[in-house]
Amino acid sequence: MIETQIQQQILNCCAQNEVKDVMLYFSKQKTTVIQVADEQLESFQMSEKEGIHISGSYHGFQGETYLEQYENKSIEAAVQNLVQTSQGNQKRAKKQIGFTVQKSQKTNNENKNDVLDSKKMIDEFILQQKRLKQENPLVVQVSGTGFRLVQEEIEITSEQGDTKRAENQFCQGSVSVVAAKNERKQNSHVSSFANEIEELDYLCMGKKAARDAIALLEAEPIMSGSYQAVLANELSAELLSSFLSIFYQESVEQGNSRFKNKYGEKVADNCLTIWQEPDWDRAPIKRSFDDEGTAANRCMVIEKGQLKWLPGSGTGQSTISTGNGKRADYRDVIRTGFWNLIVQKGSRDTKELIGDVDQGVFLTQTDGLFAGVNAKTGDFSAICQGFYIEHGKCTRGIKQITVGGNIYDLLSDLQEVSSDTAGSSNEWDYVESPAMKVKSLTIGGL
Amino acid sequence: MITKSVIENIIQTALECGGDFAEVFVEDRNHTTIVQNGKETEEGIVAQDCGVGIRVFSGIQSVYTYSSDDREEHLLQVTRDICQLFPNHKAAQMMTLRSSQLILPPSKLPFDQVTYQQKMDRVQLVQNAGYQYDKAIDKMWVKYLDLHQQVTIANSEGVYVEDTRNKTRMLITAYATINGDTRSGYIGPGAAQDFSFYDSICLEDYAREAARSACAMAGAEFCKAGQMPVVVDNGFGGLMFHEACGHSLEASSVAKGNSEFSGRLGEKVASSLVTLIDDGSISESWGGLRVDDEGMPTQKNMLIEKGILKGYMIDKLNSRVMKMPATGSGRRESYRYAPTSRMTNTYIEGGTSTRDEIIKATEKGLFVSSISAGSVNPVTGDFNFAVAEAYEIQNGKIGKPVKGATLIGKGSQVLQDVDMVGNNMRIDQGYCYAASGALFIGAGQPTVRIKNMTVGGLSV
Repeated sequence: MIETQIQQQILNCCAQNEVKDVMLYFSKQKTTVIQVADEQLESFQMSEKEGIHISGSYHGFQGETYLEQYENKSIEAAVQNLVQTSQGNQKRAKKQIGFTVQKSQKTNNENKNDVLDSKKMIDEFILQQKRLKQENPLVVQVSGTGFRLVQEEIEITSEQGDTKRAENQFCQGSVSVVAAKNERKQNSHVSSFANEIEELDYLCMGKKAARDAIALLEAEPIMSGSYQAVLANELSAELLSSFLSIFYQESVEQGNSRFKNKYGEKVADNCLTIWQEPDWDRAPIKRSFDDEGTAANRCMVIEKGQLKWLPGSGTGQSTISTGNGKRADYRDVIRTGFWNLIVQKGSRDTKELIGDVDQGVFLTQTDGLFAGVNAKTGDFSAICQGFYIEHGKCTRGIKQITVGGNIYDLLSDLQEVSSDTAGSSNEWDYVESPAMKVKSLTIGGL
Repeated sequence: MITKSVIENIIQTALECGGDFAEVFVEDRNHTTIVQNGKETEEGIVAQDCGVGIRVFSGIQSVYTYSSDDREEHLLQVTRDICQLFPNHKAAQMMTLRSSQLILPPSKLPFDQVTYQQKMDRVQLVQNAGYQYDKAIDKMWVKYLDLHQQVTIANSEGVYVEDTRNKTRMLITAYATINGDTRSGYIGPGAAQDFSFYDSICLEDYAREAARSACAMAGAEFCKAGQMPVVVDNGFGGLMFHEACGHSLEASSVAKGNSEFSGRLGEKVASSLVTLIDDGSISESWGGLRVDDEGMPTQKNMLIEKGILKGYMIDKLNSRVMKMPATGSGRRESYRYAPTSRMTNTYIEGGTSTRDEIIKATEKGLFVSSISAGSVNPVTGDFNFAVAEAYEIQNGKIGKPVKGATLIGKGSQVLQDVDMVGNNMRIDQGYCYAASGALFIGAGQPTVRIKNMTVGGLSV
């Protein structure tokens, strides 16, 4: 929590400098990271970051800044920074909508005060790494068993004294292995989020990482061409996560999305239903209000292929805030973002979807999406790996290939989604998705 | 911020709690960021970051903490907290901190002597030049950033160095729409200089170049997927080698045996035409530093010389693992990150061919004029990057523009497949995102031909 005295100092300094409509966003994040590699502790980190973002209007123009030190001179310097940026940016002061929920509403994930037994965790990780290698002779190295615990407090305070607080905690576990055979090496990395440490299943993660790495040891590229494709649930989640901006009101306003004037229209196959769920249990971050204090609600985005709703942060000329104003932390400005995007699952699992494909590809992993995505056109092209499908079965591993397509075409060309889901690896743009069977994607290879 | 005696106390505490090496990194950073997206100011912020990072080793184990709370009692407590995993004894003796004098270049136009409005005016200059280039340009995205960073780096081996760093950059993306197809062109001049940098370059020329690239790609056909010779032009094309082999030569991968270049010093790993260097000591360069973020002077590191693997980029921790000296390659984004081995300015040395000779010698292939971004898996060497501007090569001539290409490959293979190297080496500016955060890097090369690469595209 911001100390009342510091809060008052900032507000007083703003008032003295004619800064109005002040909003203070305080965030404090404690992080613990443990990394064990090759059966010994590699690194351990415990840290705390804390700061206050100040936004307000000066003579009708919006300005903002942040500070990490709270002495008088730092506060005065910060307010001067706010004044000069408001004059320079010439952004009309944003009408504060905020504080549409009860004060001090806490989320479900209150911070626990249990002391983390780091030494016990490290010993367990070392044991698991030894076991993993013993059970899988082709696994030559368990290059990383990782744990990350994030505990966050947020407090938003308006000039009028309204205050909203949220606390959140999540863990992320990961296992990385390297498999080798006949001078070929293949690695695999598996991670998952959980609310509590006890929910992280390292045994399961390790087995999956080993299985995935071994399965692709002898993978080879295939001929370039168009292929019917099944995208694994994790890959589907990562792909959607890369294209979230196409849903934002601000993108539509700027001409960066094809969803302009598409409310109520069919934009995807009937099998696709997607919604925002701020309080999704499996998501790492759960919030009932956004980073400006506006209520964040469950909202249907696409229902049976029809576009229903688009989120906004009110940062555009004509966009409105739907409780989707997010900051990465106190240093960041408000940007539009989802509070957990969930894709409704189907009735058959991934294996059954693959069973439908006579000749095609099952893609399990991709890399470089951040570089290979064109958010304006919807085109994507990235390196990927997976399996070749023949007569409904995965017959051989494939890698050193690219997958290319267009996200809008993909949504329309969806044939089915699976019943088994997975979440993306980024807590900030969390997407949970089933596997997706798509009519056709372009594979670049031989 | 914190005094030398507080730093000494932190280091002493760390050693008494079982560490055999301790380091303190103190940072005070003032910065300005302005983003104009179209006609709107999307972001405009002036702020200060201050904090301390504390790192302690015991053998090859490391622990780290950071905080913006600079009170001595807090810093000593967090030091004790992170050392709880070490056996509780005094593991090493601290050496007296000896100050190093860094000769700083004279400041011509410090950032704090330039008003925010003056910086906005430069952004507007770029915007105007881009829009005026061609009516097809329907949006300009321009980001200005500057930072003035003061760091103090001290460790138990007696290092105590204070450094002042200036960095500034103008990132320019132009969007052109032709026949309903929108493409972008990108360029980003930057340097380790103060605001006087912008008096030494013509920002309008850069804006026009971004606009030209966008117009060239808009309306182009999709690139065909397949395998073919690829000619990558000079400058930021060097990002290919940054991804293809640079990361795999960082000790953070090599030390664990997780790189395809681990244990291969002295072996031929590349074509004899390839000499790859990482040099953090290039004066006033975007990717350079006088001292690295572990307090060691940066240097020119020969990585591959005429195809022979000569060295790696090694940080302090991994120098213990590998039992090899550190190379001034320890870098971090800020006090919030522990440093590790990272690239600075990485480039392929110039050869003897001209660009024209290289193109003429290529019957059919792809000419890559500029690259946007990419990534690599150091274990397997699999890399990928997105191409920003490319053209078909037909009969030894540059042909029609093609869009949406991705280049993939294996680092060790692409190094072997370099068969022509130009004489026009240039280093351009970029960013690199990895374990110790986002860093400013230089990536460079002359025009280079790779005799066979897999090109991903949206057409077959």
